[in-house]
Amino acid sequence: MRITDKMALDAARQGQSRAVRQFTEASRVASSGLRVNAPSDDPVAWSMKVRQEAQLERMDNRTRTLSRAGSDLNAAESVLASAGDLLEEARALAVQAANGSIDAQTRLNMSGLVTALRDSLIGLANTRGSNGYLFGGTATAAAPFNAAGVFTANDTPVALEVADGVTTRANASGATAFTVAGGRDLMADLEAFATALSTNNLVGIQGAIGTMEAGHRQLVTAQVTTGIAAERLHSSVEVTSGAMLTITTARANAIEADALEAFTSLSLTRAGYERSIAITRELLQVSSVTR
Amino acid sequence: MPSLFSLLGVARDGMQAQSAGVSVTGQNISNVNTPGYVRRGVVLSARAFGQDSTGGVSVLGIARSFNRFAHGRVVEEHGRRGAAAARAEALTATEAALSPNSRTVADRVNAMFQAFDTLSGAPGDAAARLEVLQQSGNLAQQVSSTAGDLATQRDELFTQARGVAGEVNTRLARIATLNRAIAEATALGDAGADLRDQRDLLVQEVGDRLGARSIEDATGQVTLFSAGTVLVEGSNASSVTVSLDPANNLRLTVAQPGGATTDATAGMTQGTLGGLREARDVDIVAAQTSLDQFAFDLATAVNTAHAAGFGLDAVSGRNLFAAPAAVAGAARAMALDPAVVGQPDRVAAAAAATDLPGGNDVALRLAGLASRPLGAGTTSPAERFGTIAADLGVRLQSALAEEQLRDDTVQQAETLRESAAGVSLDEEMVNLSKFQRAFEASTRVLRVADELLDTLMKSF
Repeated sequence: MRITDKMALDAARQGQSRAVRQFTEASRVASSGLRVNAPSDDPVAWSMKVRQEAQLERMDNRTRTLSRAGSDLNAAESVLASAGDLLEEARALAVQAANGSIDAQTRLNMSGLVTALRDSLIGLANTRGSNGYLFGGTATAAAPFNAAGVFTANDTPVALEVADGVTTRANASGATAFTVAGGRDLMADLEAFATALSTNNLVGIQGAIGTMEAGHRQLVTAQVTTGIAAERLHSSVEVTSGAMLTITTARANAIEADALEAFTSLSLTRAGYERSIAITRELLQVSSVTR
Repeated sequence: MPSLFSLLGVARDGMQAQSAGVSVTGQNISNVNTPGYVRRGVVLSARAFGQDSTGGVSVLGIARSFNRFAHGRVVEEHGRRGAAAARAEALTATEAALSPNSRTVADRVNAMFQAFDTLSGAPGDAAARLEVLQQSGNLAQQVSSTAGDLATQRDELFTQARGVAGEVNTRLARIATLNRAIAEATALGDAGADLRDQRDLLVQEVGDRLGARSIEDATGQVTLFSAGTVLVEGSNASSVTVSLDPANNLRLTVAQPGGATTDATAGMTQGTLGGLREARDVDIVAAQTSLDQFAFDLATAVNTAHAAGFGLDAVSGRNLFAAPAAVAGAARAMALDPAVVGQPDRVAAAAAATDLPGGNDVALRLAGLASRPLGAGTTSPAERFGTIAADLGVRLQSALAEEQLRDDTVQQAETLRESAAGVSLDEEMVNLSKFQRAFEASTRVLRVADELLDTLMKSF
């Protein structure tokens, strides 16, 4: 076959052009650290990347939402503990007032203390969290207990997704903690206790010891339930975070370049490019025209 | 027997022949970089040395070292490469529109579902509701603008195809003109080498743009076939027109010199036009169709869930996105429903009016759509979009691989043609020396003849 100058130079040009292309691509991979930048780089990996990024975004947001709800449940748990302390205090007052040596005036004075305890309990039951009132069910915009201690909200559970398609309750139940839905209406019990004290009703006062104990147990139960719910949310956050780490690693494996491989490739393609330039130079020098 | 005087003629012939050789060599050297140039060679013939002839040499003509088979392969491969290159270039732009480096439709989908997720954790929160509207609006705008970009690209490819058709027509007319000139030159005994170089280059350029095949007749004229029809026959050239058919696809019509027109769309598979057609009417249409279905399914799924819920104003039955009328055009028309624009209270999160404002069942359902199969498909919304982008990626990857393959086959074909037709400077330098030496020798013959005659004259 005859080899003409154009053939030799075209071959060199094509080789050089290919070497430049490979060197540029290797530079891009090495500098960006990404093997896959566009769908055409690796359609399967790109598809996986999109799916994994969607999962990661979802999980990331879910952990934020669950963390916030978990914090609210922790706050509710703390409120219920404080409410339990109030009931414990009220029970102590009941025990003290049930003593036959206490006179009517002292009991009247104690009634004021119990009324203050009831007001404090209403205040606690109307505590607000990051998303409205903690114990109002879905009626989060208005205080669940009015000044008379009457529950005006609902007990509708608010669920959050802890995994795809799996939900768990994410709000504390004010109804079961403070109202007859949980066994005792604590506000009414305190109201009755205060009335018994103010009217020097010894039977009523003695009865209050039991109701205060029952109320305390009710609050402890609610506190435990709320704590378990909070713990469930926090556990979900931990599990989700672990899963995110796994997916992040898988995503990196799918689209990121191995640094060693990338720099080796960069060196090789650079050497190839330099060789192609040298060959072209050689071709231009070897000619009978210049002799 | 030839006379002594005839030796002068022999020397003259030799000098003329070697001069012609030097001229042709010079022409070859000066055209070493001329596109389409086919190297020439002087054709010499020895005169018979006998009773009626003085011997010597005569120049029969100048021959082109043209290999029609190799040229045909080059034209054919150029047509294939033209198609692959045009398709790859078009799809590279499509990929950029569908999958920009940041903020793809998939990113917007994720952001919208994040907003729903946040809303499920804070259904009464005004900021969370605003975020839902913001992210849903962003998604709708991104889908719509992506669909717009695809439509614009199809328009641009149509404009480009019309431009290419114009270039083809210019070349067809010139081929016809050159055909006539070559036939005239051939009739006068001239090979018309320069004219043939120009014409064959034009045939290759038509091949680049539309694919071509040519057959040369005895008069030196070529009949050019392309897109399944005859585009040039002798000195008659057809003209091609690219237009749009009722389905908005490219249509190629060929107007024959007599006025008849033929639809050659089915034959538009090679060259730049073939590649543009493949990208515009097959690849991009596939992406558009998928994007429309995606937008339709997503808007419908979100609307269905949203309409079942209640806004803070205790009103139910509202769509979040403007309800798509049909699958076709759903992506371009995607937008927030006018009833919710700027009205965060109308975003539905609760499943019942009695659950307001803290009810989050509908917000949960909306957020849950992120991981559920979209429409009649089996993949989630983000995955569905990823599949659309990946499908285009596969098409682009295939086009780029085809382009690279065709680069190689064009190179091989050109090597084959160049091997016969190309100018080798080394070879020409040797030829130059060869003709120079022969010329010098001929002048020596002349001198010897002159001396012999001189001797003869002086002997009397």
